[in-house]
Amino acid sequence: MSPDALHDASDATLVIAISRYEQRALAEAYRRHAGAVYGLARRLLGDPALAEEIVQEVFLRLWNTPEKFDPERGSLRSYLLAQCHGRSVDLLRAETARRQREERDAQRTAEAGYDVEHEVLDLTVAERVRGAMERLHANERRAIELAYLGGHTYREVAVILGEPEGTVKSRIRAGLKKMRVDLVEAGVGGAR
Amino acid sequence: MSTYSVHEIEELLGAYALDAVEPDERELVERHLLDCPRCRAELADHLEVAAMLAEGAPAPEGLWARIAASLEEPPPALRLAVAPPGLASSGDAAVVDLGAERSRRRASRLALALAGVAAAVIVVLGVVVVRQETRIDDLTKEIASSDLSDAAGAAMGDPATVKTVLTDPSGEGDLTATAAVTPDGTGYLMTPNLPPLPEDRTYQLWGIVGDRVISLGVLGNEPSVSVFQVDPAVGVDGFAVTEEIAGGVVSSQNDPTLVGTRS
Repeated sequence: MSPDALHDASDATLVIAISRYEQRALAEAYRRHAGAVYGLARRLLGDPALAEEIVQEVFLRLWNTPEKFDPERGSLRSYLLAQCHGRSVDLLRAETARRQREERDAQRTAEAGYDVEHEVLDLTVAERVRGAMERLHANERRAIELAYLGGHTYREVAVILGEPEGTVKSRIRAGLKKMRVDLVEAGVGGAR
Repeated sequence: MSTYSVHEIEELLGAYALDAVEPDERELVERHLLDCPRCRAELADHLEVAAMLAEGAPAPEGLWARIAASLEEPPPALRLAVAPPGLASSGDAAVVDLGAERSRRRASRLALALAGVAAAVIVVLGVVVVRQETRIDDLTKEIASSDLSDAAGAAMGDPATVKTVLTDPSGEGDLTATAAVTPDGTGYLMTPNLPPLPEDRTYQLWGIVGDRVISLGVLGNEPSVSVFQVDPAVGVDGFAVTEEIAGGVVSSQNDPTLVGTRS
């Protein structure tokens, strides 16, 4: 596949090329998504070195088992980010990480105001996503943030927010659904 | 944990998408997802939304180089299926015409690991193809067929593509197929009217390179468009399709269903 063709290739085509061990196809997937994967891992783990390891792992897994990506079930980006999130959360929940995490939480509070760059995500998209987030009820938003970006289980979220577990569980689901509707209406994330 | 109703499992989908469920709940959800397309669709939506919450950061410099370096590992050695030419054992001259005597000689020559450049190239082709086969096969199943058809159509429209028409060697019937190989070695096999096989059978595609027959892929029991890969440096002289047990075989003893040589 020529570099130009790669640049315009759909996720599915890209992954077919990866399955043929075309390194350039993996490089293109990396170019498109590594920033998001790294950003998420770093946000969750608070440790650049660990985040790099996660990125490496996620892309190596794509290289070694590309057939696990099913284009009919979603975009490559969401697939890679789901892998990244799962692995990061596994690490976070490992016993040894707990203490570091507490320290890090304290530090983060101390450094409040720090903002992550939006290098990869289109700024309009980021804007719309933020808008959709803001239109959620505060409790839905908090629950989703604590779970996704904080790596907490919904039970932990319930404790943190002082709410019943069932409520938190429903809020997460309802909040995601609302955002979906909102974003599709805004013309973001409708295509799948 | 068996006290969860379907409704309760559905309620977990959002949290599950965010990796925020307990391990036993995760298992429950995953089991449910296996046979609930509606929940799979909902989960996919949740994952897309979640993916948008991830804020990017520039990946550190040098990280790609490290990843690329770790890809360099050589393919697993010698699951080498330089397939012994068995395809035409019934004597179908259109495919390969090799006496047993000759194939034995050739096999031992290959085993010497190859003085001849041409033979070396073929071995490389064989290794690459066999290694890729499983994952390409798995993947082909996953890719929306429309996507593949588009790619195949584009290949057919490219004047640089080498096209080979395959027909039924018995001369009866109107079975036909077209193999289209683009200059980079990506091949598409279009099999518009192959009759579906039972679940435990599959069609298999073979490439004829000189006097060797090399498996190019297992096509499944109901192929319409399949993708395969050949080394662009090696010309494939012809193709054959056989019917085999599901999973395919390393070398075939069966009469080909379709054959075609490059004109």
